[in-house]
Amino acid sequence: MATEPLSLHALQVAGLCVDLGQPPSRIVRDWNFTLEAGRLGALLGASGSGKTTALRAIAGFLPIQAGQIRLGDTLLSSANTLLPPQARRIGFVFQDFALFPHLTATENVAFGLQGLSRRERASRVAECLRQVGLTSFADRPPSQLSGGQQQRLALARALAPRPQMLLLDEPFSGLDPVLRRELATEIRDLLRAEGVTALLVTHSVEEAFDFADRIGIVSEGQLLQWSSPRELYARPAHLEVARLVGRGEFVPARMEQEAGGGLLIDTAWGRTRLPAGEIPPALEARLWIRSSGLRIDPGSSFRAKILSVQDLGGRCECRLEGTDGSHWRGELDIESLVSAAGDASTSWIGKLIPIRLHPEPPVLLFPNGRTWPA
Amino acid sequence: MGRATLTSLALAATVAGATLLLGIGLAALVSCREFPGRRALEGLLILPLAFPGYVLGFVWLGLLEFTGPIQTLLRDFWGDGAPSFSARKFGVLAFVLTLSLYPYVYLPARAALLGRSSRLLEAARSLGTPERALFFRVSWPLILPSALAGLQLVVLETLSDYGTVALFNQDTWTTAIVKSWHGLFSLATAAQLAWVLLLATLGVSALLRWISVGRSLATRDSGQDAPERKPFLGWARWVAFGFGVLPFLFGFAIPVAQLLIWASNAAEPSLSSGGMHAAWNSFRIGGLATGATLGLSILLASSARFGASDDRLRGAIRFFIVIATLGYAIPGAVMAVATFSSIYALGAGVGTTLATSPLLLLFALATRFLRVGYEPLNAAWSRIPRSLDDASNSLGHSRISTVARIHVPLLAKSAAAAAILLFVDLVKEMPIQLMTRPSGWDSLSVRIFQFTSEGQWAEAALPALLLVAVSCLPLGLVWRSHGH
Repeated sequence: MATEPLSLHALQVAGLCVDLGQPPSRIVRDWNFTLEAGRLGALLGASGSGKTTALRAIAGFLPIQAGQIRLGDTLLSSANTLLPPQARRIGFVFQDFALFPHLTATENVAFGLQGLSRRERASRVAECLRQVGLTSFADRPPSQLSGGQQQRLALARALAPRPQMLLLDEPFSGLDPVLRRELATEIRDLLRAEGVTALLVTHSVEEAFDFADRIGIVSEGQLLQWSSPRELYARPAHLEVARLVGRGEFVPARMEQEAGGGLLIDTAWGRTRLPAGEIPPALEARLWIRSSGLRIDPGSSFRAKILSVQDLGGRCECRLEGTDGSHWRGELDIESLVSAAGDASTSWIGKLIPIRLHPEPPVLLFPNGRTWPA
Repeated sequence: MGRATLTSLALAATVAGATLLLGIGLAALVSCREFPGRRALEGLLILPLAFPGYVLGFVWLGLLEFTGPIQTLLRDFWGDGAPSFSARKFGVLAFVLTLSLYPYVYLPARAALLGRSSRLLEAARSLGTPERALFFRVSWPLILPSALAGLQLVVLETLSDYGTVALFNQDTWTTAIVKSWHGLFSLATAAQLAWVLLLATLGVSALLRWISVGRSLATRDSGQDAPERKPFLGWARWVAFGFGVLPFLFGFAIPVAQLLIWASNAAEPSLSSGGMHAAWNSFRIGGLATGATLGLSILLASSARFGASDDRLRGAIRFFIVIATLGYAIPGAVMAVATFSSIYALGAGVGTTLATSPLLLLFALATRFLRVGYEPLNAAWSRIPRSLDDASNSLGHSRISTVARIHVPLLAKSAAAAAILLFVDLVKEMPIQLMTRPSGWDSLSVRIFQFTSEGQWAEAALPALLLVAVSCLPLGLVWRSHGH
């Protein structure tokens, strides 16, 4: 790996385990992932899932109990190595920004610039402040900056010493939703332009997808899947990944071998096929039907009962019950609904409508919690 | 002993009840209502804190005694038929202690009232609470926990007071301890009495803490408004003003005026060489003890921060801090007896050497007042999020560099504030100085107590004014720490 120039500053995490607390409990269990140089990664999971702990271990704030953390050629952490954070050259943007309250914006940015001449330092500080649009606020203390400005200042401070990599711990969670989205894209573009390798931790699906081109899904101490956003959507490796990344429901399904070698997946909601050669581990499973995975089709022999309808204007969100008693919630085209169930929306509830599965690569869930294909 | 117990408990109960009523009443008056002079009164009402109990006590004794201005005025008015009375009464003592201690309740109660969100009151109104019931159903439960915390201080101060009760010739636990100490010179009896008082003060602290535990304070987010003050109309404005201004007059303005009169009438200039020497001693011991206590406080508060990586170590440090700061709940008289007992346990030789040097005094003062220095520093540490340490480290700074560039500048202000609070508390302190000083050593507080226990008000006036002036120093800090 070290011979390839691109992976010079790639972050490699192998078998990472981190314990916290007294008595120690394993917060991070056996994580493996590689973030290539210049890529933007995100760890996505609920609070308490271990994502921030992993980030703090990468920064060197926490020792690790097993595994390795490497940045390019350098071993940062292992069970018996802990390179101190000040020697790692890894920038960190904190959830609470952690701006030094007694220093001005300029002094905050200059804090990490050591071993430079006064002029070099001043010009680097000015450059960083300009990048984040804070030039005219250079002499203000953090308390006189708005939330968004504090966020930018924290980023400028972390980037000023030209770190080998940047870590961001829920950096947008203190901001209001509009500003959050705006800043996430703005910061993403800045980091891309600078070619910085960065890893973001967040509990917001939109934020992760807005920001990153590699996403790790984390739940209860485990890294369930680490891959590209498209891959996460198309081939979720776990029930929770499917639930987190896209909306939809699992419904009971049975598999039948077809004459041509293919496999027929039969549900109360419709049928779909797997091509020959892909053999699932068992014949009883549940099929993942996305919120966009059903159509109304007058020619279909499958029926579902309308439980509730919410008009969203142009589309509508429905809750349906299949003939086997399973439920599905998702969006249907309102024109087709009108033609299938009549004009008067008050009489929709309880009506049976003809439905069809939208052809898509199917995702199956087996009773042992594994998904397929994984 | 039975009589002393009765008086101590009755005094604590009376003063607690009176300060609670007065403190909360005044706090509600200045933070819920609007009337002429309200803004000035808000600040003026904390000034009685500048009067040590034993100073306020002798001023009121002087004002109320047979030859004092009030009885003289009554006689001028009525002639020989005027009522004459002794001022050394339980009721007057309770009045004086209430005046000097009510700010401990007033300050936190006022801060809690100002911290209420107007949304809370609006919610209560929308749920049908009548206007008259709002205070007791919404505001009262919010201010009670902080008022109780203040009340804990009031009870502690009352139980451990020696100077004021001695002036009023009341027999309490503290006077019993000092009497058996000085009069009978029996360390054993004093120590037994000290145990009783110690257990009583610790019991009261634990009880009040238990009552207020789990009652969290709902406070307003910075974006929300404080409820508006409702104006008093007509003559009620002046009644409100009168009620508000009386504690300030009785607790500060009148006593200062009386002290000034006495000081200017004093036959002999009381800051003679002896007086100057006492002032210098107060300044010196105050400064030394402030330095020592502040140093210990910094060590203690910082150890809580840096020992935090290991949970067991953290537990041990927290336990040690609780023990080390317990001294504040120990009355000065008890502390003096305890210090002597432990010194003599070291052996007669060491004991006598220590007992004749100011080291013993220094030790007793630092042990008693450690908490005064520790609390502001601990609060300052807790305002420095750990993420700042992490940020500094991730920007390439070592631990030592982080301490120098982040922690020291951020703690400096609080350390200065702690030093001022400590200095004033130490200079005002009387019973420890009285009991553990080397023979022939004198300080302002000891001198005031000695003059006043012989009724020489005029001689005590100038040192007392000096003490009050010094005590005004930290009031700005106290004011700011309660919601400004």
